[in-house]
Amino acid sequence: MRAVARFVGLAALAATIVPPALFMTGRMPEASMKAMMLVAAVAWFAAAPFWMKVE
Amino acid sequence: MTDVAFSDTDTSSSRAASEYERERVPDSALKGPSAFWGMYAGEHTAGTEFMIGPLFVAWGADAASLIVGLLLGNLLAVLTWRYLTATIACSERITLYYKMERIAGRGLVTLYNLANGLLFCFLAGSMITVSATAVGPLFPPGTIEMPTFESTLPTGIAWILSCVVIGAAMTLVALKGYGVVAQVGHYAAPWMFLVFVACALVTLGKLGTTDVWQLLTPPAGTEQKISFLGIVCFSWFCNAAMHLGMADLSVLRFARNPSAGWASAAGMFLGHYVAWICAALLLIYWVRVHGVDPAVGKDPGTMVNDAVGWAGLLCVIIAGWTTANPTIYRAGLAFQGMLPGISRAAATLLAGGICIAAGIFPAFAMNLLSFVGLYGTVLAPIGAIIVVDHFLADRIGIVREPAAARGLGFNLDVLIAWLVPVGIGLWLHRAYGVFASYLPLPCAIACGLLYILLAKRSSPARAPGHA
Repeated sequence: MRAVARFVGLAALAATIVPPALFMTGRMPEASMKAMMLVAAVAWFAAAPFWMKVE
Repeated sequence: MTDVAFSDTDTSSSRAASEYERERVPDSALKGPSAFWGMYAGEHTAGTEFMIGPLFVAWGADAASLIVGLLLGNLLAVLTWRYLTATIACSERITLYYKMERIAGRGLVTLYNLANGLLFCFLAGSMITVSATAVGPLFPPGTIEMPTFESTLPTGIAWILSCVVIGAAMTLVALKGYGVVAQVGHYAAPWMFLVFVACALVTLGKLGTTDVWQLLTPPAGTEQKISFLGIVCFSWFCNAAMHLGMADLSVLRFARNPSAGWASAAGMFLGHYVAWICAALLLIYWVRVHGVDPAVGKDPGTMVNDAVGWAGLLCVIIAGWTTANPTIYRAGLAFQGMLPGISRAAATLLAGGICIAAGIFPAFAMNLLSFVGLYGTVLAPIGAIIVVDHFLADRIGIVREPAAARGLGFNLDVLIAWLVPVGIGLWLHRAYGVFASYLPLPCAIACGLLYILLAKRSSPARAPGHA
């Protein structure tokens, strides 16, 4: 479970930063970039509790 | 910034902290450095970062001040955490409040709690203001009039309702306990930081350049209200209460060794360097493309929504919420310490009410650059007294921890040493407009020197050892 959450979490973080970088270089339209960031936000908060351990 | 020393009320360190409020932390409870790196990174990426970057632009800060000045100021802050706060914390291993009680007496700690509680409320109020700006873009344009940098009063009924709803939600969660929100804050930290960076990338894309230095350079003729030194001092002392003022003794006393103080670098260079510059770029875009007057500014919610959409709005709300909630809780604790007769719930409600009232008035958030300086000016001098007590007392022949040694309930030496420099500092700010971030260091040094003079007079000819 933790491995899956870790994969989803890392993918969500990547999906938070890669689309804006692609938008900056003119390789992704603004609407797609914003939609991907929202999906990434939901995915991050779904995965993080199973992955990140609070000491 | 903004950030508040959650110390003994927020993170897991904090939960443990409540177990050792009046004793040294035992070796078995010490934590490794990873606990501190994550905590500092999370605490210093807060909703108010969305305000501070644009406020620098409004104040006409130039590129050198922002890129080099912030670097220098944050480095000085990290060094202060490492070599003062962490050193004392790992040697004493007790909370700020217990250390103060042993030096100043319980009565004076109550007075400190009042100052601390009120300042916490105004800080949390600023966070409510920032979070409320994320509500505006959810409604048709014009439904909620957003405040600008020039706003001091509420902009209308819809704005007041937004602040009341958000503030009430924060207060209710604070009432129930802060554990869940602290966890959400912990989870949110890496994502929030990336949203700040994403805002900057989108802004650079829209402006069609990656020359950040050129973008941060204000147009010729811009009035510069904050200098290089001002930026250095701001970034050094915006958390003065936590490092110089020793509030973070409560956290760092759990560190195995003082090198945990380096963990503050995570908060300073991610939250107070990268995030501030990213947020500054947001306003620069609105100035250059939409012709917004930088002195008037644009609310964070609208700017972030324009840059990255709903994910950005979520970030503004979460960044404000996760930091305001424990701040309200801590303010409640401070008031409860002052008024022992009232319940924890009543004290939290009182704190929440003051925070909401402060949040409704945008004056606090819009004057954040001055407010955090005043926050440090009032609270940092207490740290100087602790520095004198820890490092110098035995060498210069004054009694260590005099209240504990003599059974004092109220150490007048500490009160005078604290209030005189702070009073002069506040007067200089009000009467002569001295930038508030210039004041914490001189006030702290003056407080330390005055305490030495007064304590020397009160000490017997031969001071006893450590109490």
